[in-house]
Amino acid sequence: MAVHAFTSFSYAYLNRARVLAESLRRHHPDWILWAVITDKEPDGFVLDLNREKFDRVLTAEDLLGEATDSWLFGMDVVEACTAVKGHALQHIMEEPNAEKVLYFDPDTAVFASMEPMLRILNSASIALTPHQIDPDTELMAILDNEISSLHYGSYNLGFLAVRNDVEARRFVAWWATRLYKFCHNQLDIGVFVDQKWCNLVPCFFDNVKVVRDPGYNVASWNLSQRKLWITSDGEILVNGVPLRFYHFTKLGPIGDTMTRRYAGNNLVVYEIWWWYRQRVVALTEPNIPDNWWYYSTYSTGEPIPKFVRERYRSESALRDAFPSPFTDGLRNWAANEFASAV
Amino acid sequence: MLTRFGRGVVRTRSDCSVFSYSEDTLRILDLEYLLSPNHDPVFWTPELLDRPSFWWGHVPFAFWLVAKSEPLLLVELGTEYGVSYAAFCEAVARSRLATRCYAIDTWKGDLHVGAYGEDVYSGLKDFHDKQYASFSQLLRRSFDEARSDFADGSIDLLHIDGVHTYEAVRHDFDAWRSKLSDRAVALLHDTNERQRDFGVWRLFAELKREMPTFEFLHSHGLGIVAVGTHVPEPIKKLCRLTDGVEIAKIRDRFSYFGARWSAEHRAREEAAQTRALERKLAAAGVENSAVERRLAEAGVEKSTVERKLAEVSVEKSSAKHRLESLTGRLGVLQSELDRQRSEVDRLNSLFFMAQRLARRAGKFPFSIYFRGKKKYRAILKSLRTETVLAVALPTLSDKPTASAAVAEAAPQEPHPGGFKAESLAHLHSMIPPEIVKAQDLRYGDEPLVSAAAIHEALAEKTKDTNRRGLILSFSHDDYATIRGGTQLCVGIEEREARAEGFDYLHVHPLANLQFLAPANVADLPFLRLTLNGSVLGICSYLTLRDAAKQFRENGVAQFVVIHHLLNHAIEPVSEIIQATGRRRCWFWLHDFFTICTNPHLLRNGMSFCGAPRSDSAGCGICAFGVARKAHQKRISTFFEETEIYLIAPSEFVADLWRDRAGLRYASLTIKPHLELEWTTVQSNAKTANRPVRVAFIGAPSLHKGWPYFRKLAEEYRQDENYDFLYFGVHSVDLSVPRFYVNVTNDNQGGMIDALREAGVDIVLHVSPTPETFSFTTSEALASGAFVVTNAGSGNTARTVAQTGRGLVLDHEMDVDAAFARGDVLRLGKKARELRVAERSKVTYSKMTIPFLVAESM
Repeated sequence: MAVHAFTSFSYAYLNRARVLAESLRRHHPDWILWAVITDKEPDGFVLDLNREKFDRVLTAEDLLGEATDSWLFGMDVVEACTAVKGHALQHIMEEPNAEKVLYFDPDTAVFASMEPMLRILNSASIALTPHQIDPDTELMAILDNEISSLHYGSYNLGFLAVRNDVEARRFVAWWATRLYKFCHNQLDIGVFVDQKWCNLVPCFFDNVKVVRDPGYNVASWNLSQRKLWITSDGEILVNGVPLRFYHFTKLGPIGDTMTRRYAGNNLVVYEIWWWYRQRVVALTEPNIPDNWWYYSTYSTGEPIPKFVRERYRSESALRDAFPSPFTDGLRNWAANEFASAV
Repeated sequence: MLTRFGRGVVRTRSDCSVFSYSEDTLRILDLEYLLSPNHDPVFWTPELLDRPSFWWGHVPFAFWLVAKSEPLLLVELGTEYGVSYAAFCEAVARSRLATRCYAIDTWKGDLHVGAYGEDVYSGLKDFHDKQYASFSQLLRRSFDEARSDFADGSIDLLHIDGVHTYEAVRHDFDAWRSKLSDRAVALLHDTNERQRDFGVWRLFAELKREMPTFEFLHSHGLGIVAVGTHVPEPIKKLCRLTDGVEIAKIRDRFSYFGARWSAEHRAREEAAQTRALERKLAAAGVENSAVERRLAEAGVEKSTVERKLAEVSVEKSSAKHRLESLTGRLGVLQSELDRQRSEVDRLNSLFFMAQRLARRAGKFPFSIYFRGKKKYRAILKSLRTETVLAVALPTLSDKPTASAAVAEAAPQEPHPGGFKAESLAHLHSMIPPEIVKAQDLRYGDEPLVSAAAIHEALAEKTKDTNRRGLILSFSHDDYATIRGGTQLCVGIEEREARAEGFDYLHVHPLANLQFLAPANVADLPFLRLTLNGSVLGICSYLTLRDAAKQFRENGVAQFVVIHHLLNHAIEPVSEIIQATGRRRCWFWLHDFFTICTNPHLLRNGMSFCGAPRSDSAGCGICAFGVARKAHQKRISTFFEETEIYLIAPSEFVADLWRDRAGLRYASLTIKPHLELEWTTVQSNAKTANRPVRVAFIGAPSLHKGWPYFRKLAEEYRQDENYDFLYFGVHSVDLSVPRFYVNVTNDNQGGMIDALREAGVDIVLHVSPTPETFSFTTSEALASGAFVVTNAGSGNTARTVAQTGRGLVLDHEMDVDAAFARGDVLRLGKKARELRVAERSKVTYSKMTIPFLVAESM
């Protein structure tokens, strides 16, 4: 029996996914690593698995077949790369030897063995990591962290672990179905991509473990309650327990600001971020343009407005009329339909 | 003739012009010459640093000129912002001259500078009246109107900097000439400016034919005209210089000194621009709130639209036209959002650039560097011209982030993680060179030597049967010219070796790699040899190996001492040791280079790591982590191949090394570099009642804790309980008294004497670096000062704890609280009292020599 781990990304995030794979491989050389890629390679770049730390690749077409284009057209890049997670997890769980499967966001990196998580899965079917595991006390932190969790979901779906048992398969079937239709950033109706759905997981399923170990999924949204330091043995500790993985959410000014706000003078946090930036730069593929996503434009290269995507996904008649939405047909229709708006 | 403004009375001062030295003295350039107070005027700091002027480059010359010419009456025609005038006045004040000074200007502007506002005059007057009112006046009138206020033959120094056309400046010079004394010197600014209708150059060319002159070419040119027949000697000599080399040298030097103030002013200007930009950003933040409110309203509107869309989906056919309209509006909103978001990105990016530049701009001489770079000039230009309007947007579609304030905020100063976190911005992964080429090496004029030549050089000495043998000593650089603890040790060892009848062949690499050198250098001329302190020449490792083999065959006893392997290729060093036939060496643990490429065991160059395993998470995020693995492997091989007799200068390093190095060795001996003893003395002397003197010794670097000292010195600058002092050879970015002390083998007690003479009470040694010995700590204690340090400072903390002479803080950051609580003040007073009652005795180690004497018996 084997442990499988996967991440989901577009090629613009290949550098981050490589850092994750490198860190996973360091601690778990025997795991089977999957890259779920909802994208197509830009000119001048070919993904060569022999040069990657990943063992296998899955694409949206592998998972959804002919319906891929019309399904993907209704989503932006974040929605698309999260929507495929359910189907990808189902696919991997069908592998004959898959005993346990873990999902990591591409912008995470592992710093210590994940063996304790596998032990959790000896008794639990599903393991979720909350954004916060300790209440905040300062008003700003409550607004930034707890209110955000109420808004976007209690559990961070940058990580998910399942044991390949009946209950987990029941969960995955439900989750994949919901994501197929409702993996959107639609906060006004209470939906936030794949994440908010998982608020319901402890309600619907048994054997769910809410992991309250501060060593998992450390990120700016929980730094206010987590203190990191490094021992003379070189172990990175979070509130006294080993740092398992860090979630480098929002690499850039916003991430910096939030990290500074809640890391304060906790120097180790800045050292970890320094290391991450260095690795991301080192593993960046020069032939992939910044913000590349194959599905961001029509086949003509013209960007697809968000409102056209939303209209397309909400009207079955439109989907029936334009089963290949990336081509000229839908673009011409949209140009005419939204002429007054644009 | 009755005049309103008369001459003052001169206080006699000896004329100590730099130009009165003989040429020979000038050439010697010895320490005394460098430290001569004669040069002080050139290094004075102007007070009026925040005003614009084309005159900044001449400020050091103004200081020098006034100090050397000692004018009794100084007049400036055309003052504007007052940069030149303030420099003259500052020199008068600092030289304590009896000079009367007058600045004449309408302060309304002129043909060349254009009209300007009243604030120019009022700003100068405020400053002037506070600083120089006792001997100076600002006369607000035209030059011609003011002329009658001065007696003929009264003005000793006249600076003309009014309208710059030939006619105007000719008129000014002619009109005021009769007012000049027989000692008078006239200055003309803009002699090297020929654009538009500038004509000062023409007047100066004419005057050159009539009287002695000297001209600086920088900062638009400054002409010095020796008008009087008895101008002061230094100025007379300057204006009579004919040697082109000397003229160029003086021009270059004052141009260089002047550039410092031009750069300083520009840096301040840029910092002010950055502050203005920050204020704009803050204002834009207010505007952003309005944008946020509008967007929040838009968000509400969006929800409304979407609710309506849901209704429309039920009544689709009847409401189709309404749906289209609302959907279209959503699109417009989204486009606006996207546009705003991209604007935010652009502004944030600008803001980061501004912050980076502001930091750099404040650090002379780096400011010169970044202004010299085209790239940075372009950025500065863009900063000046960009208008910042908006900052950030609330996130409507991102994953969990934070309150709306998050997006607007770029990282703020100062960094909450302190100077260590800030330094990460400049940190890069440390990767050793894979190959070194001969052309990368810097050779002097030393000869290449063969094995035979090395052998021959020693042959004369080895004839003496009383010689004990040859010491082959390896270290990382030239101990004779480079300062540092290890270098001092090698120097002591060389002296003691010769005294005991050894010959001392010192070997150091020519490259400064900061790593072990790659093995490919073995046959390159990579090593510099000195024999008994005299340079022998350059050779390769293979040559030295052959020489060692030859010595062995000739029966010369050879002893290998390794002080440092940094910059060395470790494999050929091992071969040389084998070639001596002894397979053994004495190996000093001056630092932890045998454990990590960072010899101080500072993770990311900033925090003591404790030397964990190289596959640990800590090493994984360290800039030195990747290099360390290969480094350890090579060191381990070396220790396996050789019989290593370790010498540690302290118990601290011995303990840590035994615990963490994991290397095979024959023995480990502890031998401190110097030892201290105190004896009580009878004294009736009373302790002085003065501020506690707190000093920093040595290299002002991050890893030695300089930022802590700098912060405290700035914080307590106005506190009359403390004086802060610097001792060492480095320039420091802090305005504190600096005591130049260069400890050499000829001057081992130099630092102790200097600290004692200056009455230093406390030496601050708060640093992340675990010291393996620390000469400075011992020197501080020997001088009678107490040491304030932190538990992580290695042997420094141990020594302070063992002697009880100082304070060991738990953490580096605790030093602020120790000052705030008055602990340091009390400690300083205690040190002062103890100093009266005790005397210290210092005994320096003879390094490896006693071990080698025993071995050679």
